[in-house]
Amino acid sequence: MSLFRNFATGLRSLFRKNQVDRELDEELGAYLEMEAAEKMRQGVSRKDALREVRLERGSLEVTKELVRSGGWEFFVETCWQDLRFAIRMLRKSPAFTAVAVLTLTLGIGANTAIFTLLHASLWRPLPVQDPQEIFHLMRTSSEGDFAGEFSYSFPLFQQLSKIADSWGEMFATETVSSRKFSLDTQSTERIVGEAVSANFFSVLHVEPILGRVLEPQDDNALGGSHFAVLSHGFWVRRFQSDAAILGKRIFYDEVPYTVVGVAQPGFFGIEPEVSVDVWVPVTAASANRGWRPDPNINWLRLLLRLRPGVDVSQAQAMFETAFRAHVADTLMPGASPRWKSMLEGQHVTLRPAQSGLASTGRKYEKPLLVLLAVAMVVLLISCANIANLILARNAARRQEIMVRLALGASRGRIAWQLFTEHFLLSFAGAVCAIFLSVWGTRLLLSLLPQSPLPLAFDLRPDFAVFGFAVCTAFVTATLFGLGPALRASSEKLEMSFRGGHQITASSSTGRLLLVGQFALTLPLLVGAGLFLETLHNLKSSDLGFRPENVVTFDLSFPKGTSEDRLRQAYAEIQERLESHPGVVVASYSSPSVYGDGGWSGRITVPGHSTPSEDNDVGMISVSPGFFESIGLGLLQGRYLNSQDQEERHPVAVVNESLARYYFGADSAIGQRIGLTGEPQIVREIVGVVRDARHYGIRERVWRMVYIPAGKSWKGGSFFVRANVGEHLLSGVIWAEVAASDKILQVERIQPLETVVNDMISQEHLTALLSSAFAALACLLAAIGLYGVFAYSVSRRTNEFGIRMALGAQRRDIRRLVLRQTLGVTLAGVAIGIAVALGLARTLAATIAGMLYGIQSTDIGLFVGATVSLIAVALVAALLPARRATHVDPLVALRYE
Amino acid sequence: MPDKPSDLVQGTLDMLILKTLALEPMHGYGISVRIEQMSKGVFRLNAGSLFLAIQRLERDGLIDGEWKPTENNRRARYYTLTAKGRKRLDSETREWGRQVAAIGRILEAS
Repeated sequence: MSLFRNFATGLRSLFRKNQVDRELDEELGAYLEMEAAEKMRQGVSRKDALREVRLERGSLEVTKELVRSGGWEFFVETCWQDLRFAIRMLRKSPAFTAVAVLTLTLGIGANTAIFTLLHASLWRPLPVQDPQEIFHLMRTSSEGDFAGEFSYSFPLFQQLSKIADSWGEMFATETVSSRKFSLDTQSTERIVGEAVSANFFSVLHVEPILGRVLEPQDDNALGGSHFAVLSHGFWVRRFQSDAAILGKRIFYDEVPYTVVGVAQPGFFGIEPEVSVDVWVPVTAASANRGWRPDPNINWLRLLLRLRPGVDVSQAQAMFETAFRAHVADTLMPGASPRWKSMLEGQHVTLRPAQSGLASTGRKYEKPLLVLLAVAMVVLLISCANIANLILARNAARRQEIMVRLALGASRGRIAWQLFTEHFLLSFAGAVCAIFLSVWGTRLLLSLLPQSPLPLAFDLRPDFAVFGFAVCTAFVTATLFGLGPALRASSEKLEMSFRGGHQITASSSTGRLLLVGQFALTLPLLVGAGLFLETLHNLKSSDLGFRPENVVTFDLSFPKGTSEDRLRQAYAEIQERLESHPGVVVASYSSPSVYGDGGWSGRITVPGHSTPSEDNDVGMISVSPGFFESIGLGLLQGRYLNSQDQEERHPVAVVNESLARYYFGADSAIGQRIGLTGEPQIVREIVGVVRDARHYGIRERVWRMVYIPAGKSWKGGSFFVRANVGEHLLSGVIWAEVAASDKILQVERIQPLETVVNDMISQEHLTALLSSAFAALACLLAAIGLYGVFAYSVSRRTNEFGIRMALGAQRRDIRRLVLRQTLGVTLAGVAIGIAVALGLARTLAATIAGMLYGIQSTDIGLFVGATVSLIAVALVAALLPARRATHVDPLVALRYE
Repeated sequence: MPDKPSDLVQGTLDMLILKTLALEPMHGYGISVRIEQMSKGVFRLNAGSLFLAIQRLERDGLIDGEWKPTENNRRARYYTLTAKGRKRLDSETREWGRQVAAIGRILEAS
C-alpha cells in the first residue's frame, strides 16, 4: 500500500512538477512566515526576523532542494536531465557520434548474430512443459577412427526403456527426414516427418489442439497403428486449419496413415533446426522394413524425461551397465574384429537436452563458440578505439567540465553525466546491432551447407537476444566509458584555469590502450592464419579423385518398383546422357558413396586373410564408367566395362590400400576374393585404383571393393562429367530423366565439388569468419594508432617547431614519430605473442580437432602475423609522421 | 535561552513527529514549535530535515496531509496521524522504552 503511495506521489511530482513545486514553496513559505511572525511578536523588526529565521532554519532554496532530493523521482529526473543533455552533446559532434555508433554496431552486431545462432540452435528450451527434465541418452565413442555418435537398435531401445521406467520415461525417434506426401495418388510433394515411439507426446507433455495425439497403446498393435499426427503449422499451411482432416487417410513415405489429430501450436518437434510436419508411430513406419528385431541395425535416437529429483549420475550408471551387458551378450558374439573394437569404445551418457537433440547446433558449437570469442575480442579492440576517441574529446571539453566543477557540480555528478553519454552511444549501437544481427544471422546460415531438410531455425530476436545485446552494450559502455568519465571528472580544478598550453596526459593512456589493441590483434591474426591454413590444407589434400566438372544427382522412384525396370531405366538414362555432346562420361553407383556412411562388409581372401583379423571393407557397386567420371585413377589392370555387368564371370576392382594390405608387393590382379552377402561367388580382381576419400577428407581411407552394378539393382546416384557449365548440364539432366521412365524424379542435383566442400563446412565457416574478424581487428588497430598519433602530432606542433628551429632535420622528426609508433607496436606485439602462445598451449586439446596439417604453435605463422601487424602499424603511422615533418617552425612557434 | 540545542539521536525524528501529531493535527511549523517546547529547547529542528521527514512519513502512509487555512489567513498543510501511523508510534515507543531501559541498566551497572 505504502509502496504504491510512494510510487504515486513520486509520479505526481515527476509529471505535475510545477504544481508540486508551488505547493512546496507555499508550505515552506508559510513555515518561515509563521516563525518570523513569532519573532516579530517579541519585538524584532520584520527584516531582522526573516534573516534570523533563515540563519537558524536554513534558507528556503536549500531546504527546497533537500526536500526534493528525498524522493526516488529525483534520481529519475536527474537521469532524464543527463540523457537530454547527452543527446544534445552528441548531436553537437555528429562525426564522433557516427564513428562510435558505427563501430559499436559492427562489434555488438557480430556478437549478437553469433549469439542468436547459438541460442536458436543450441540453447533455447523446447516449447514443452519442464524442458529441463528432458535428457538425451547419447551413445558415443571418442576413440580414433570410431569417434562419433551412434544410434540404437529397436531391441536395445526396448531393453533400456524398461530400465528407464524406474527413473522416468524414455522415448525413441528416428532421424527426421523429408519424404513423399500425398492425399491419394502419386505426387511430388515432400514433407518433413518424424517416426516416434508412441509415448513421444505423453512424455513431452504435448497436447492435441484437435483430435488426439499418439498414445502409448498405438505401439502395441502388431506392426503398429497407422495413425498420424500433424503439426499445427502444417495443418494451417496445407489444410487451411480444416477440422475435416480428422479421420482422413494420407500417404506419408508411400504408406497410408489415418490422421488422428493435430499437435499444440508452436510445437515443432525435438530438433530446433527442423520443423516437423507429421509424426507417425515408429512401429508403423518400420513395419515393412523387417529390420526392427535386428540388434545390429541402429536407427533410433533415445531421449527421456527424468522425474524431478532423480540423481542423473546414478541413472546414467544404470544405463551404462545395461548397455555394456547388451553389448557383451548380444552384439559381441557375432561382431567382426573391427566392429568389436568399435563396440569396446562405446559408452552411453545422459546429456541435458532441454533444447532438444540440437544435432546441427552441436555440430557447429565449437566453431561458433570460437567465433563468438573472436567477435568479443574484436569488440574489445573497438572499445579501446572508442575510449581513445573519448579521451581526445574530453581533453577538448576540459574547459566545460571545469566550469561545471567550479559552479559546484559534484565530481560524481559529472562522471555520471559523462557516463550517461557513453551508455547512450553504446545503447544506440546495440539497437542498430539487433537490426544488423538479423541480417548477419541469415548470412551465417547461408554459409552452412545445404541440408536435405529445410533449415527452420527460429531466428527472430527474442528476449534472450535483446538481453544479450543490451548487456553487451552495458558492459561495453563500462569498458570504454567508465575510465574516461572518472578521469575527466577528477581533473584538478586549479590546473585548468592556469590556461595556456596543456601537455596531454591522455596520450600515455592512449598509447597504453594501443598496446592492448595490438596485443589482442596478434592472437586473432594467428588464429585466423591457423584456420585458413587448415582450410587450405584440407582443400589441397589429395582426395584420390577429381570432383571438378562433375555433377551428381539421385533418382527417386515409387517403392516396390521392380529391379528390372530400375536397371533398365538407369542404363537408359546413362546412355541418353552420354549421347549428349557436352557430356564426357556418365555413370552411377550404389547410394551414399559420399556423405555419412557407406556400405561395409567383410572380405575373405583365400591364402591371405585370417578370420581373426580386421577384414572389414567398404563396398560400392558401380556402373561402367564410374572411375572415369569421378576421375579415380587406375594403377594396375583395367576399369570395369559393360560385359562385367552380365556377372557371368564375377570381377571386382579394389583400391591401393586393400591390394597393399593383402598382397603386399605382389600383384593383386587375378587374385580371388569372396565378400559377405554373396557366399556363392568368387570374384577375380581385374583392376587396382587409387585410394579415394569418399567418406570425408579427414576420415581414414577404407579398404575398398568396387563391384559391377549387376542384375540386382536398387537404385543410387549418378555422376556426370561434362565440359559444359553446371547449369546447362542440369538442364540436360532434367530433360533426359523426364524423357526416360516417367516414374523417376531427379533429386539433390549438385556439383560433386559442393558435396566435397560440404564435408569441410565447419572449417570453411571458421576460416572465413575468423579471417574477416582478424582483418577487422587490424583495421581497428590501424585506425586507433592513426588517431592517437595524429592527435599527439597536432598537440606537439609546438615542440616540433622548436626542435626544427634548433636544427633538427625532417628525417629526425620523422624518425622520432616512427620510433614511438614502433615502440608501441612492438610492445603490443610482444605481449600478443605471449598471449597467443599461452592460448595455443591451454587450448591445444580443444582446437587440435579444428586444425589440419598445422600445429597451433607454428613458427611461420607467428612470424607472418608479427610482420604483417608491424607493417600495418607503420603504414598507419606514416601519415602523422609526414605531417610532423611538414611543420613550419615559424607557424609552430606562433601557434601558442 | 537554555544551552546549545543538541542533535537528535539518529532515527528518532520520525517518532517525535508521530508523537506530536498523536495529540492533534498540526502544520510543519506547529510540529517544530511543539518539539522545541516539549524538549524545553533541547531539540531545534532544521526546516530541511523536518520537511524531508514529513515527506517520507507521508509517502509511507503514516501521516496524511491536507491544506487548511491558518489563524492568520494563510494556507498551510496540516498533518494527521493515520491508523498505520498510530500503530507505528506505539511499536516505536515500546521499542524505545526497552532500549532506554537497557542502556540505563548498562550505565548503572558500574
